[in-house]
Amino acid sequence: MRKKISTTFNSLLFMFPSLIIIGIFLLYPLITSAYLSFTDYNFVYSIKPVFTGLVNFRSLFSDTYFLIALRNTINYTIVFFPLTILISFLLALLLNSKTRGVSFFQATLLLPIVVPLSLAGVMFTWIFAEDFGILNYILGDILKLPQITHFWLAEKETALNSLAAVGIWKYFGFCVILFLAGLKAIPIEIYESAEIDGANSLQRLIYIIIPNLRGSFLLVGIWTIIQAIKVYDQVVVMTKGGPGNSTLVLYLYAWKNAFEYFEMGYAQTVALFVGALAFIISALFNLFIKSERK
Amino acid sequence: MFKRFVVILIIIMLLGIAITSLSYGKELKIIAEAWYFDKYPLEKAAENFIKDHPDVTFEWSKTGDFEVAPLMLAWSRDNYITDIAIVATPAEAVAFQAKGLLVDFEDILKGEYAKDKWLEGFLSDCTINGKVYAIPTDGEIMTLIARKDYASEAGLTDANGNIIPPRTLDDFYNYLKKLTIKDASGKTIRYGMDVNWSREYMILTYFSGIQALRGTIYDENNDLDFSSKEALNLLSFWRRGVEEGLISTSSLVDHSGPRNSMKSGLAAIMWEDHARVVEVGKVVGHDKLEIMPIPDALTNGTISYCMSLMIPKTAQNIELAKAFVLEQFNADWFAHYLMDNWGKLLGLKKPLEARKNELVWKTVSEILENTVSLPHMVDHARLVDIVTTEIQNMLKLEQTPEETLANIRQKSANLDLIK
Repeated sequence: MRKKISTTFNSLLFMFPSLIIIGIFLLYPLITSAYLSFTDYNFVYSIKPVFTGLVNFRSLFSDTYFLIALRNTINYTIVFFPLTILISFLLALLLNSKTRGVSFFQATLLLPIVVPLSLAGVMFTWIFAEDFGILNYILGDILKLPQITHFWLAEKETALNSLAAVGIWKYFGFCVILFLAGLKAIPIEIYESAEIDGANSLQRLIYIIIPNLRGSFLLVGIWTIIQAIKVYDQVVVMTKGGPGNSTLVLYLYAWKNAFEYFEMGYAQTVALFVGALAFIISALFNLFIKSERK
Repeated sequence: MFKRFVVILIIIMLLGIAITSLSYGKELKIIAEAWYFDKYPLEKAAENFIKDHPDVTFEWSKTGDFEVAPLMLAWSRDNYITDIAIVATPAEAVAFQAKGLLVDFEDILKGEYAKDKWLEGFLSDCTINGKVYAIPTDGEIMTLIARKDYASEAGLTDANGNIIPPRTLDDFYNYLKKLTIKDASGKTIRYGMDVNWSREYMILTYFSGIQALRGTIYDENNDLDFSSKEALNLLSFWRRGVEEGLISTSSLVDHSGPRNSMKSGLAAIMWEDHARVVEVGKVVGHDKLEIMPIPDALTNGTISYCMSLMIPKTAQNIELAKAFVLEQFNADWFAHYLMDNWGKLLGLKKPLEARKNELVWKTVSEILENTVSLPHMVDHARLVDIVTTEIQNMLKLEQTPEETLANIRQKSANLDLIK
């Protein structure tokens, strides 16, 4: 008994520095942020936060701009989520083959990961430019398809999708790694048995690869949804939420409330909403993984 | 013996510390938005200041554009992080002063720096409740900048080769038609004009048009004007220009769009601040550009705005900071350097008056006569967002000018817009 207590005490002692750091840099800001979301607090004009209960949360759903931001974030997710999974899965399949030069392409596809998203945003702003952008140049002057050229970031129909394209470019490399890890983990014997049974490529894909990659799909799926919900960097760099409110997303709206309108209380409410969305999805993921293990 | 040794050692250490601190003198800490370090001769100003004040040293630090919150936090907690903050606009100074965080400059605005020696629009922009809490660092007026060579080709210049300014919006529309070039398919290859409708400029651009056309930015009820006939005419003119491919919308996603259009010859006129005439001139040639008043701006003026510097109450060298601001930051050489290299004005009238024989500065002076600055507003940022969103929606042809003005009135009805 004494030994058990001593072991627990020692464990706690070793954990203490980490707990202190987590407490100061994670729990304290989180609790303060959660508290502020229940207050009316203008950073500039209020003397101190005034507790208002659920007023901020009720305001969310009558706030036109919040609803626009929510709609845009969902629309972004609808484009970003399936395309990232599809593109990265197909590329992982290609890179998993034993073709010459595969390692070169593996390295190349990972390059976007090391480019900061803010820098990529500046680069893509030029690529998407109406008059001198390389995309319109390729479409209009090289492919002779001027009818499909656009002012990509200034048109309501294309602005959000252009931002999603930048997000996909940035993140698909990481998803390819996750899929590749899953593909490498499939035992070679399964493929060999399937080959003996006369399974063709499509049958191998449907009956062997996809079922065995369920874990990877879940991981990539949840990760991409979270990336989509917290989209911010490329929006700030490329459109600042415009034109009009076409690309106003949740995190940008939280930032605006905090640092442009100085409404810290309300900004925390928006941020908490985003955090709650991400948390719910993560919890669902954990539940799913646990049920899979059982 | 040992005790005596320790006492002597302590005395020597204390003397050392005292001598060291005396020899260091005073350190002036200055924090500025990063771009100032590229455009402003800050180091030379510091060198000059040190010649007159040999005991002073400088410590510079950079901050991002409009990073108000970190400074507000630090100053609210009585932290000394800087003696001078060259950040943001006087609109942000209002936010700082709402918490009583700034030192006023009233005591030094005397003699050659008396209030009447400053350009009125800029100094009034820096005045909060009757006291000056900021000093203009980058004064500009909203105007048109036009390509003389294109105007000449279109027959819009006088015998001296100077552009004949359009007198009305209808005139202006005809100018744009003459200046716009389209290819066989009807695609615009050179726009008559590029207007800065980005979030950073929208409210300035809109009210510069209103001030020029009406001579005031207020309506009959003394509210900001989103209802007059001129407001409707201005929006209709813009929308029509965009719809017909005469005006570029490059600024909807990039606030540098108009200047890039001018530099690359994609636009014949830009509607932005006057300072761009120097920046664009470096690329296309100064002789090819002219500042052109917005219709009626010579009579009614336009909108001026400025960036500013502030001294927080937590500064440790307030008098020294004020001395640096007057002796170097507002020195003639500093002002002329900025005018020559970046087209920017400082607050004092003298440098501008000395250059009135040059066409660019003569026109700027004339427009400045009746130019006003925007009022300080608690909900400035919200109004900017509303006006930007609604006018951008109109420019995307999603709504009419009438609907645009109605939406702005309705959405800004509950804002705190102090005049």
